[in-house]
Amino acid sequence: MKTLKVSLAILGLTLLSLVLWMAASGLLMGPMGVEVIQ
Amino acid sequence: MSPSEAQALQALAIVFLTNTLVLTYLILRSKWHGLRLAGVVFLMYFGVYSFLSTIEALAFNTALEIQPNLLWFTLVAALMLTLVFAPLSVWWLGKRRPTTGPLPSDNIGAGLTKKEMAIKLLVLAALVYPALYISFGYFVAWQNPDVRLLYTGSTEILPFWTQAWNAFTNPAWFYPFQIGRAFVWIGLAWLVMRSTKAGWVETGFIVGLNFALLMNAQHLLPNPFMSESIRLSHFLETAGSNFIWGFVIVWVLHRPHHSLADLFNRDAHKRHRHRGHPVNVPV
Repeated sequence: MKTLKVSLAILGLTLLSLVLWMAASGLLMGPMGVEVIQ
Repeated sequence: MSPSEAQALQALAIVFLTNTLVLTYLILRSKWHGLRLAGVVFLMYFGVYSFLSTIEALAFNTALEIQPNLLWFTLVAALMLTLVFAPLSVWWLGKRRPTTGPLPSDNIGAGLTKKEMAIKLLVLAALVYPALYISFGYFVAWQNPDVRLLYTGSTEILPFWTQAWNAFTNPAWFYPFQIGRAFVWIGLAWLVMRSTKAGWVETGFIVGLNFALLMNAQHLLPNPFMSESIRLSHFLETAGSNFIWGFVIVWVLHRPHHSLADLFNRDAHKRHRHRGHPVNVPV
């Protein structure tokens, strides 16, 4: 049960990080004048 | 979504999964809980993942040519991420409230006098860190001609001591700058040492793992400043040196040492393996 809880927490935190990073990119890159370089 | 965007998203997911795994290990082995533990997680995550790597990138920005706006963006975005991540990770991993069961009453690193601490800090920051930095830099990253071409514009390789002297004297601020970074690393390791319930060897492993991967997993991400070959060289260089650096900090600071020989004294290690409490050994 504890292993399952920890695994779910790890999965949730990874997804949360991805969402937060993409949200930060969406919110900040334009106003901070960051150009997307390919 | 284009194939390159999908590839970047996949790499980003691997980076965040790696960061989450190493921080989970740190959190689950902590004897602290709640906001105090969240503070350690935040400082460790933001400090290693963003602050220490961004100031290092700034030091080499003549070669890397990263736009200042992009560096500011990564700092602010990492601040947002880590501020949310730290309390949620502590909560979701069940460390909001105190852990039940016996906890060590003493801390790793307890018992060091101010004089011993000062000597050890000076040796670690002024000698050990620069030595690891330049050795891994030269014998791992610098062996790749692409790396030499990026930073010097030439693939020529100089002898180790010449290269080390050049690196630390030109520019003149570079050596003091690396000593400053070393003190930040030591501060972060010290926080983990005070908060952990693990023995010193495991704590060294936890600190080493976090130092190695929080900073370097991002080398997996494709970026316009470094080719794949350069990213791989930097990953091997900094992951290796950071792991050893983290472990060495804990090894040197985990207990008082009466002499240099005492640092390598296995019997003393056995006596102190239980968090500084000598074990009663029947004679």
